[in-house]
Amino acid sequence: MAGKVRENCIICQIVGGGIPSKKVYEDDLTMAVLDVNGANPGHCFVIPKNHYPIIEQVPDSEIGKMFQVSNKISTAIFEALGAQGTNIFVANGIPAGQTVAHFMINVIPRKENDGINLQWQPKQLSEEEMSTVELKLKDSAKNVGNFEKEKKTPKVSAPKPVVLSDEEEEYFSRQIRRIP
Amino acid sequence: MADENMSQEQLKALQEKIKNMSPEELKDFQKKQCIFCQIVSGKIQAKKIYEDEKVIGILDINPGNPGHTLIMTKEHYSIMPQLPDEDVADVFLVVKALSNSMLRSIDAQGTNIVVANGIAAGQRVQHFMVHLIPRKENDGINFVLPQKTMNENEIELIGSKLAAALGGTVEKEEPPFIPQFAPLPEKKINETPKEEPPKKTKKQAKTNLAVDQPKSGINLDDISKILGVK
Repeated sequence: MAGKVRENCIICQIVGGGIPSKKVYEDDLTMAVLDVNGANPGHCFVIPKNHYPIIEQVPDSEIGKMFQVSNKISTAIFEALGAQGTNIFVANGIPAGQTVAHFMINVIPRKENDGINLQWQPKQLSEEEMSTVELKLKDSAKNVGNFEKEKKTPKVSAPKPVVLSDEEEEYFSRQIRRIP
Repeated sequence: MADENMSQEQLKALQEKIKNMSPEELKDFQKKQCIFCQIVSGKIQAKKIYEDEKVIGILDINPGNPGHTLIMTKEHYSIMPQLPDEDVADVFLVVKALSNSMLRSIDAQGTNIVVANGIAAGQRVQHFMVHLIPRKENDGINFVLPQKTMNENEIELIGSKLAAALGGTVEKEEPPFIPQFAPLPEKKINETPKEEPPKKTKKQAKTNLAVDQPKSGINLDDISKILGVK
């Protein structure tokens, strides 16, 4: 179930004020909160007020605004906190490290040797493997475009969003390790 | 860019040249040196999977996982804070759509979106880009985000600084703000209904009077006589 509010969602409770938080930004659809157990002091997360588990369910009309807010926070972290760098980080799905079933964008201040690792070991792929994945992605990206930047009435032909089953959502809530 | 074969003198001359450049000249210089600007212009080959007027998506040649895609602006920006709002929206709408298609076309079980601003954050090239990495369970990628605790003072201080920089204020637990003129409108509200009924009655009285008016010319005694009232 996407949209609106979920009673058992910790982020929805933060949005609703049931769980106290340190807000740094708020508008009608978006909120940004200081993560008091963040990876570095100043770590913020930007959340939609409506409940969307992963990015695919966040409407196009809200995506732009959320990342613009994230970018402004990133700029503020440079200017007001004197960070040496910032990361914008999103985890979509449990294999990607998502722990809370409410979409969020992490904005993380960085300093050298701060114990954070967002690096990966490059994988060696054969030319054939690269070409196969290229063709598959290229083919499915053909339909990308014509974004609904402004909110409109939903088109009938719009692709059906991937919705997590209730079981998956329960799995999420059991997985919550971090209480922001 | 600084070549390994450059002599000390040549390097110094280059550094001096860069130092004296105007911001426009510097951007132009960066563009010429930027591999990704050359990919955008087609001078360097890449496996392009998406392209529109402003945004391009190519496969990373050193992927964290097969399908690892770099989404970037065609325009040269070194870091994300330099991007105009409009471009931020354009880039991330593409990121969302490609993330969506990864779940279907290459059976990804999840995706990570990573942006690094600055060397301390892991940025390696001078062209803003978004890493979109398809994920599977036990794929060997281990991102580490430690949990650090902040004390109340730090939370207050950092929260206030960020909120101020973002143009807002951090909420504080204060008694609710009561404006000084609050009792005045309250009184008015109470008064209006009081005034209302008398007005109505007056109006009604007037209308009644008007209705009575034709009767006023009639002698009531005559009517009484007709009706047989004594």
